Amino acid sequence: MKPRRSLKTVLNFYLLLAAWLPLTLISGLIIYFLYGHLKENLIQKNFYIVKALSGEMERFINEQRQVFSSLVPVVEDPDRSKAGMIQASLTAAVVNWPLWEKIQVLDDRGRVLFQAPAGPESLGLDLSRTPAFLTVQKIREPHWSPSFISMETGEPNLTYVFPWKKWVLVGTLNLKKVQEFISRIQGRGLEIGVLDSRGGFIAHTDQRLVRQQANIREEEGVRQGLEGVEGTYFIDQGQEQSVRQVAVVPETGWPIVVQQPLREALAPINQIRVIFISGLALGLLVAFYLARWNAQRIYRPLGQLTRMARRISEGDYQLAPLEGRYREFDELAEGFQAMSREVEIREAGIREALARFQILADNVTDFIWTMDNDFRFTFGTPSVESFLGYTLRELPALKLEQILAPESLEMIHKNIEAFHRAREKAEVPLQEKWVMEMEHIRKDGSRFWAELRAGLLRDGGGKVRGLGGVSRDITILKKMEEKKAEMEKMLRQSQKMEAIGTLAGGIAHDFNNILGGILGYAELALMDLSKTDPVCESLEAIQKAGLRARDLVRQILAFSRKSENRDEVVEIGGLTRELLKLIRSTTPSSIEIFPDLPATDLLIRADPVQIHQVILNLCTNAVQSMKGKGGCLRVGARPLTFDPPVGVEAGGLPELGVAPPAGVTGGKITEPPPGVPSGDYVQITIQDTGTGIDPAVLERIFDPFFTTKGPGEGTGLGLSVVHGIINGYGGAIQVTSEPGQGSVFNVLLPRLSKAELQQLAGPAPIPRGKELILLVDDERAITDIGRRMLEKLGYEVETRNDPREALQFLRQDPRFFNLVITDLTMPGMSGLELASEVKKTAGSSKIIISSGYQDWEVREQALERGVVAFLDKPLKFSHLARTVREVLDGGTCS
Amino acid sequence: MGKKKSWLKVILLLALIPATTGFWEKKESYKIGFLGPLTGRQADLGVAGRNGAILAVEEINKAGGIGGRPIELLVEDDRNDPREGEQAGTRLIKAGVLTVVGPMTSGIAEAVLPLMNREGLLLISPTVSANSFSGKDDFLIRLTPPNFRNVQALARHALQDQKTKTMAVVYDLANRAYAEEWANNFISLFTGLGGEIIQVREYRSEGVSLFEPLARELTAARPEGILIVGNALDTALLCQKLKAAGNKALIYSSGWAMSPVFIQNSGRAGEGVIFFSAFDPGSTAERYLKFQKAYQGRFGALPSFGAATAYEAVQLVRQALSQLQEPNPRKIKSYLLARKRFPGLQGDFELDTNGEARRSAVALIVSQGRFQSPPSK
Repeated sequence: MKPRRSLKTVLNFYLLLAAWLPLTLISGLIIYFLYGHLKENLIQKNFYIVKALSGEMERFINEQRQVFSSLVPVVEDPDRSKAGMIQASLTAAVVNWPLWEKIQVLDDRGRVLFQAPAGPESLGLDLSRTPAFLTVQKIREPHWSPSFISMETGEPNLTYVFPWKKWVLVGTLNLKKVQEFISRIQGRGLEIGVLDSRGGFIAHTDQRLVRQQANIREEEGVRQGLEGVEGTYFIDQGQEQSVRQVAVVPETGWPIVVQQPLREALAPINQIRVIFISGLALGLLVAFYLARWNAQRIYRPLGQLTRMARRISEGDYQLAPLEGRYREFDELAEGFQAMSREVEIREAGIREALARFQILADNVTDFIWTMDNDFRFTFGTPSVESFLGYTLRELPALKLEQILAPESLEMIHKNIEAFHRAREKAEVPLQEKWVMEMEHIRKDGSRFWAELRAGLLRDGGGKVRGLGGVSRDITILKKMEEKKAEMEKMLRQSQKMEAIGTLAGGIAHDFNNILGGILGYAELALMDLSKTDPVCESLEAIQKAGLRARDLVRQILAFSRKSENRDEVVEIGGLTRELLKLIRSTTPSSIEIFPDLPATDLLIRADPVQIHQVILNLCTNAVQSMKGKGGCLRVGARPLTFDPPVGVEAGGLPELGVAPPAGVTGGKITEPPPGVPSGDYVQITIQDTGTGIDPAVLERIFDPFFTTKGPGEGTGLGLSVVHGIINGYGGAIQVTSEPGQGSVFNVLLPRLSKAELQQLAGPAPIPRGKELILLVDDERAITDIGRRMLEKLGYEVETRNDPREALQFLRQDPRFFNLVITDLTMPGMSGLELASEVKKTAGSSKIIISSGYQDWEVREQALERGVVAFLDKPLKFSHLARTVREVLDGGTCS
Repeated sequence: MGKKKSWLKVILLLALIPATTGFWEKKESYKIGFLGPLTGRQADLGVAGRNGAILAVEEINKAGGIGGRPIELLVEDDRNDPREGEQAGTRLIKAGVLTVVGPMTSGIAEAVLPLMNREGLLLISPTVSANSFSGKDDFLIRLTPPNFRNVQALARHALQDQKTKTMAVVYDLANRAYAEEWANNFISLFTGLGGEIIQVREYRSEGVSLFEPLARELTAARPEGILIVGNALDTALLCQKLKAAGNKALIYSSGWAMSPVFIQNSGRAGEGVIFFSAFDPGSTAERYLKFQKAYQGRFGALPSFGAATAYEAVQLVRQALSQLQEPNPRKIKSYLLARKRFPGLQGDFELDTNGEARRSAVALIVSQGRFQSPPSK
């Protein structure tokens, strides 16, 4: 920027101008007018002088002429006789009038007759050739000769020639008197000259000019004067201008010249000018110092203000009051102080904010940063060291390539390009903020994911100055998301199974009711017939088929966890040995079977059929995977206890939930699989060296109807049923497999507790009773069979096929029935609702719910409504007898 | 602070401008000196020389100067006093003149020439004619031939043409260098030619001179001719006294007295006086008539030989200056001596190697109040 003029200079300049300009103008005008006036005066004054001189000369000449003329009678007749008298007269005249140096009387031939003062050799001198004589001879009139320098005196002389009769009187007049006239007049540089008719000096202020017979007849004014013209002339002599005035002495025609250099003549004006100039200079000086003094009074406070501003900028807010005596400065100072206070407060705020920011920056685990437009870091929090592994010092030199994985860098570049395109087009508003996930590279080369939230940094003018943002390490979040996705997948699988189960359960329920009828009537018919009756055989065949159908339904219900059969204690070891014998007989000899079963009893409460099916299914699959090439089938069982803090030795089994290659033994099961509570379990392991399961297949193997076998080879229900059974017992199944190496299936089933073991006893006799029982089921066959079974046991039985009717009946006499057995699912009113109503109307009546499948949730709800026991459909005589007796005796069925 | 002071100075300077004068200098002039007796008894010669020089300078300046530069004439009065002449010469040297026109008399030339030789300032004398200056390579150029020539011509004329066998000689001691030499030269030449000097008298032209006794004495000696070596006034008065004393002898005069003053003061006694001079006041040469007219117009009087030769001296300087770049006295001298031939007012003349003009001297006889060539025989 061009340096601007200082206020001081400008103020001083204008002040000076204001003080000095008018002074100069006035002085100039005064001098100008004075000059003209003075010049006029000078001309007039000098004109008076020259005229006065001319008059004086005129008088002088006239006087001398008269003096001379008075001598004329003396020489009236200058003959010899009067010579003495004449000589005496002439001598007297010369004595009396000393200006007349010499008076001669010449004869007509120009010879000196008389002379005074008398000279020894003068008489008789021939003066006929002198200019005076020659002239008078010619004009015969008295006249004045040109001046000449006397040889004798060296002074200017003049001859007056007076012709008288035949004589001529010649007088030599000394002109020193004229010099006297001149010398009386004084003036600065004033030169006065009296000239003769040839232009030579008769008298001059500088007498040398006279003696040297200087001649100025050619000069301006003199020329005119010699012609009888008077006037005023301005002449240049060298570098000087002079004013010259010329007058003429009428008698002689002599010019009188008065000359004065203008410089001298106008000396007063020059003096005035000098005074004015000095005054101006002094005025300027005074104005300058005044301006300076006044300026000081302004600048001192201004300077103070400047220093104040500097001090404020340096953080010193203690301002001294301003010097100076102007109200404006007081106001300015007040303004400054107010500003200073505001700035102080604001600065304190900023400092606090900065401190907060510093704490934030120092402690934040995220990396906060800013970059310039060239993507160079301009700021970063110390967290960069933990974030990227670089120090803060290294930060400014970092390039994006160093800290971003190539894919992320590419993404950034795309973003930048897009940004630049948008900026060039200037149509769309620029994107101001970005949220991106990027893979970063640490200094040690390791990679990690980070979420970047960035925005444009703009300066006060809105110009983009760079970027700023926060980067957060999201590695853990990423992992958690992955886990979550896995969980969601599992959940979906589970829901799918649930849906299938529900569907299957629904069908099984109805089918079960039908089976109930078939089996019930077959049983009742067999009871009614003697054993020898040929019909018995057919009935038993029906019963057998019915039981098989029941087993199938149970399997379906088991898969869908809609049934529970825990009523039997199963010894796994024995069961497995028995089963392996069966498998051995149907398995090619290329497949070796290694049982790994403990000597001790491993007891569980389960339906032996279901457990049998589980092991059989798994083994069948294993054998099938080894078919053709042969292999090795290991079937093992062992006790396992999950105590939350303590891990249990896995005993040569692969780790659960992990998928090491098949055949690898050893490892620990430290925690139960998901959904399995801690407690005692039996672990059944079926391991083969077969083809293994493809990972893509692995996750679907428990889906119903999913099979890898050809048409007719499998139903696709095998593993799904296994899954359902095990889940139904609160156990778990896991599989690890390696294609080409083999698979390992681990089954966990809850082991019987000691208390449960004690309860185990031999089969009790069928209990009987005489109590009143209300049997409710929408299926007439069921109520019929149930009534006949209970009546066989001795009980009084009333049946209803509509729960509302049953309720109405109950309300009529609430105390009538000891026990109410109701179906769970009925049109119009569910068994649970009925149970609630029974509890309200006939609180003393016990309630049993019979159902084709039993849900744990339903059980819970049922217990809340006063239900004390549950019966599985189709009803089995012994089970019915025992359950009813237990309930009537005050026990509950677990 | 420095800045502030500087503009203060500017303002003060501006304030002072109206007070200053004479910004523009005229073109520098050539300075020429004039040295001659302007007062005293020799003033007629000095004033005439000065006037001739003034006329020449005025004419040159009126015509535009020399290459646009005017000539400035610095006039000094030596009062015919050697000491005064020396001082005047010193003043001219200090004034830085390029050349001095002068001196007019041999006495002053004797006094100032050593000074000028020392300082290297050229003297161009219109009138100095003493033989003693002849044959010397000095800073003196003379436009009047040495006396010797005039003396020789006069002696021969007197003896052979006028048949004057006996001569009396009178000379003025006031201008001794000139007069005594003149007289002695004449005596030796005249006697050498067979003439006889019967009387030699000297006088001093100071104060009141008494010529009557001298005239009587001379007349009594009855020479056939009388040679007067004196100034114009003295010679005129002596002529009158000789006439009054009944002199019958022919009067011869040196060129010194050959001026209008002689005519005016000698009256009828001047008639027949014979002069020998290189200068002819009655010359009808065109240049001379023009000069004469100009001189009379300028000074109201007829020019004498002093005026004419002084005029010529300035013209010589003009010629030198107009030819020389950055002239100085030595250059002017060299130029003039090399150029040799110059147009004089009454005809061309030459300078010899020592700067002496060669002009033929002629006899002039005063007749009817004028200097006239003698009737040829």
